[in-house]
Amino acid sequence: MSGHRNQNNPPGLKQIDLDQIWGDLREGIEQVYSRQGMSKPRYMELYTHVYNYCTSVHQQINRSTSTKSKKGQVSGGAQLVGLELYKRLRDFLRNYLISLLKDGIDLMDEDVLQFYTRQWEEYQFSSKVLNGVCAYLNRHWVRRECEEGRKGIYEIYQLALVTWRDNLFKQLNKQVTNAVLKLIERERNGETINTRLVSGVINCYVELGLNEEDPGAKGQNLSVYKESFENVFLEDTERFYTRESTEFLRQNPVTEYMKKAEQRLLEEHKRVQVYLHETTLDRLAKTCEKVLIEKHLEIFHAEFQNLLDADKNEDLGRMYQLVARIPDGLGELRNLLESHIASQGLAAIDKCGDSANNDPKIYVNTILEVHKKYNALVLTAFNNDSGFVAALDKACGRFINSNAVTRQANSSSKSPELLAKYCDLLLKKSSKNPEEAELEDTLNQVMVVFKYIEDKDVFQKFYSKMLAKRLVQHMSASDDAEASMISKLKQACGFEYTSKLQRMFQDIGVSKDLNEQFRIHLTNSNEPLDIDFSIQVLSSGSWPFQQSFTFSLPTELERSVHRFTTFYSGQHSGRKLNWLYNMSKGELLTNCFKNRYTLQASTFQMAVLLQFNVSDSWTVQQLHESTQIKVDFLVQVLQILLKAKLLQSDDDENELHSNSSIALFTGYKNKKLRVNINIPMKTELKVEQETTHKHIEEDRKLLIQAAIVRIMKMRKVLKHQQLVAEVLNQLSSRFKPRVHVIKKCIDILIEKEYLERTEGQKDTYSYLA
Amino acid sequence: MVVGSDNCGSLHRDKTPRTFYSRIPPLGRSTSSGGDGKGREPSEAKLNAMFEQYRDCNEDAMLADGIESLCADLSVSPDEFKVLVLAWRLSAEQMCRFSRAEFVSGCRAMRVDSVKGIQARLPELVVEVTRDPELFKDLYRFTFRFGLDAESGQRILPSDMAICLWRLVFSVREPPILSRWLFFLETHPQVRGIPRDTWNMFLNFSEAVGDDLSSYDDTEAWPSLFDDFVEFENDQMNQNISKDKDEIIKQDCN
Repeated sequence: MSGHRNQNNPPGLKQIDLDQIWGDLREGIEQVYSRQGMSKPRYMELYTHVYNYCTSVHQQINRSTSTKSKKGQVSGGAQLVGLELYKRLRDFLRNYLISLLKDGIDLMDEDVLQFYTRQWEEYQFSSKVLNGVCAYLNRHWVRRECEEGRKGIYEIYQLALVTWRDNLFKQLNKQVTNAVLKLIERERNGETINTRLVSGVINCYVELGLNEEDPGAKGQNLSVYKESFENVFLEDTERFYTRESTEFLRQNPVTEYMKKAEQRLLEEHKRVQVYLHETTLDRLAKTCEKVLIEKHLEIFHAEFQNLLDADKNEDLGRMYQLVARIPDGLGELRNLLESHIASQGLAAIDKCGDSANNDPKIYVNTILEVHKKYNALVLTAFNNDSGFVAALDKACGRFINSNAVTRQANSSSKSPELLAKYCDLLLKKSSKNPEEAELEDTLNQVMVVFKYIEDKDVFQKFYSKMLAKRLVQHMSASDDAEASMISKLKQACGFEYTSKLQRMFQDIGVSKDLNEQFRIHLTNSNEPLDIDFSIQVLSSGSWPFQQSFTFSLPTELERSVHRFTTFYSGQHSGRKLNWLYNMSKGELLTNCFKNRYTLQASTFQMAVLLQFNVSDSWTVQQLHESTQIKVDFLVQVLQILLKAKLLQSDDDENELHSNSSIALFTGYKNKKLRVNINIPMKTELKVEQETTHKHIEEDRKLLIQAAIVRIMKMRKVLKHQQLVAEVLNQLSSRFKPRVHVIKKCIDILIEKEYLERTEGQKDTYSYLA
Repeated sequence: MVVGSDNCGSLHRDKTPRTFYSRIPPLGRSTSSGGDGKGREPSEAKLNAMFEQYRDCNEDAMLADGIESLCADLSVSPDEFKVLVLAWRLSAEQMCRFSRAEFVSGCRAMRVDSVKGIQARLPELVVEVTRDPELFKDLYRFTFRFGLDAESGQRILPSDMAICLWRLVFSVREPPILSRWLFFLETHPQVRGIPRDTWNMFLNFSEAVGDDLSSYDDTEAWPSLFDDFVEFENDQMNQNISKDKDEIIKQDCN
């Protein structure tokens, strides 16, 4: 080269030969690598050397190429020459490191780390300075070489890294990595270590990750770090924790192990933050989770049940946090929790025995206690994890709809019945009515149980029956509470579910005004009634009352009824009033006894007693004829009056027949002057319950048929299984229809020609418009 | 059980016109009778004359007495399968009654115009219907409609009538499950009637299960009465038939 250059050097231009500057440059570089201080002018001088060399060569080449361009040997100044300088620098670095290696090759453990990290830091620093000195070379010659695609030419700093890698790292990395791992193990065993040694090595490994294909590309290539450290480190970690966890579990309870594992996971997390590369975080966590948790899942599952049994919520929370780290690890815990809650619920109800059967309050509170306990557990220990919430819900649904009480009643509708009764207890006027705020809270609790009830239609039936009674008998503790409960039900089940309840509520309000108007009407007319008379007008269809059977109203009351009927038809033409005598009641003043008693009586009782204004004694048959009350029912009315000792008979009260003679007992005595003789009759209650259940079955069939028609109207053609599934889905908010009943309803609809079987297709129905 | 005669129960004793099913068009069925070797067209006059011979004195139709004497001339008993086949080929709207139109057009379709012709044709028809499942299905479905008391607008076949008709229609091709099915119906008087769908589907059911109810899947779209039947049979098999289940059936049917 030089020969070539000398030959072509035009005279008069200052020629700078590499040898001229190399001596001084080399001196300067040695100064840099021996880490002596350097003044700025000296640094400038070194830079200038490189600059001069490059530029002079540059000019020569320019000139030479321009002169030679005709020959076409070179073009575009491609032969920038820095190679010579580059080679010398490379050799310098190589020699420097080879001699350095001799000092370190025999060192082990911490010594080698001390050596390696110190030397690396110095070398890295010095190389950065050298890179600055050679900036001009980098910018022109190196860049050109790289652009032309030459391999193995790097910027000077990277050259320094490559040289380190080839000469020092390759020789030492096994020792160094081993030493690092030993150090980490010592730390894991509780010793304090010099973490700077580790982080120094890690920084070096990261820095050495050059992208050989494209040295100019920014961003680290972590190949050296991963291959020479991370993989080994992870293997080492796995081995360490496999041994440790097995060992620890053999000697300690699982609860202790969980604490240990939790702490270990935390430590490893910190380790990455303190001295490892951040990309290791995920892989390290996975490795640890695998050996610390996943491998011991079976032990965890076994322990989970023990923890549940012992209510160790803190440990349960810890186990949850650990197992949650494993993908799909929680499924078994959820199953265990579900069956645990269900069995706890069943056991709690079993424990109440018969009292739960008869006392809605005990029943509902027992359920609520179980729910409250495990709801709190899910909330705190299981982080309200949706899977665990679902497990809680499933378990509650299970034990609430099927338990000792429902089994005894042989019907899942016992639960909604008891819940509705509990509502009645809460909302009915009594001496034990809670404060308003407390009541609201309790009603919210009721809704918790309500959510799990499968047969919501049964609840509705019983609730509306009892609401009707509360309203008609003015037994509601608070209108606000009633309205609040209705709105809660509406929120849970929709408008349709509560529409009847709301109508009932409205009717009572309207009736209040109506009574007032009727009173004014009476006072304005010239013939006031001689007895107090109030009325409630209830829209038929909304109220769960049965039409009363044959009954002939006592003449004493006829006028009132007549007056009101006239008044009402004046107000609303075209409306028909049906009188529910069985729901009516009144007060009688007695003049026949020693004291003047006020008897609160049902209309039937009044009808019977009023007969004794005419005669002191009647036969049952005569009473039947005058009141028109059916004999078997009349006998029950009489039994109550006989029991109250208002009437007397020669026959036993349980063996009354149509010729039994009933007489007024004039010796009647009672400590109270106001006596309530209006007690419900046994058969009435029993019949009511039976009809309620029967109505439910009938209503369900209608609801199912309506659902089928709705679905088929939309789908036109549908497979049997899909139809059944959709019906179940649509009705799930009300009740759980039995598939057999759905099939019956399909039969009925085919018969009624709403549906037909699609010809030639098995299992498919079509809708007939 | 008698198809052609009117001694099969008070429901069918009435001879006044029954109009309900006359609104339903007769089943369209192929009139080509494959095995018919007679080339000549049946004579309209002969058919009408034959009809006149058996028709009722008050009505333009063949009623119980007429049909009985026709059966006698054909040397068949009125409660025979052959008579059901004849009624089917005549597209008779109801039992104990062939209208003139039914008789004349039915015989023409059979390409016969004499008692002897019918007598010869009937056994061939029985063979055809026994062999061809599609023809049998047609006959089977016809039998349900045929059994309804059209006059009272009946839509559901009373159980006892259904049992008789099942026995009759399955005189040929009797499915293995039939006797157990009929036993179930006879022992469950609470099953009052058989709707059309259940009747029609029984043919599919009998073909699907054969003699083995274990293949029955109650999640499929079978009419629910088959569920009850299979449950009953399984209970019988396990010797633990419980009263409760019968109770349920009773309730469902009410």
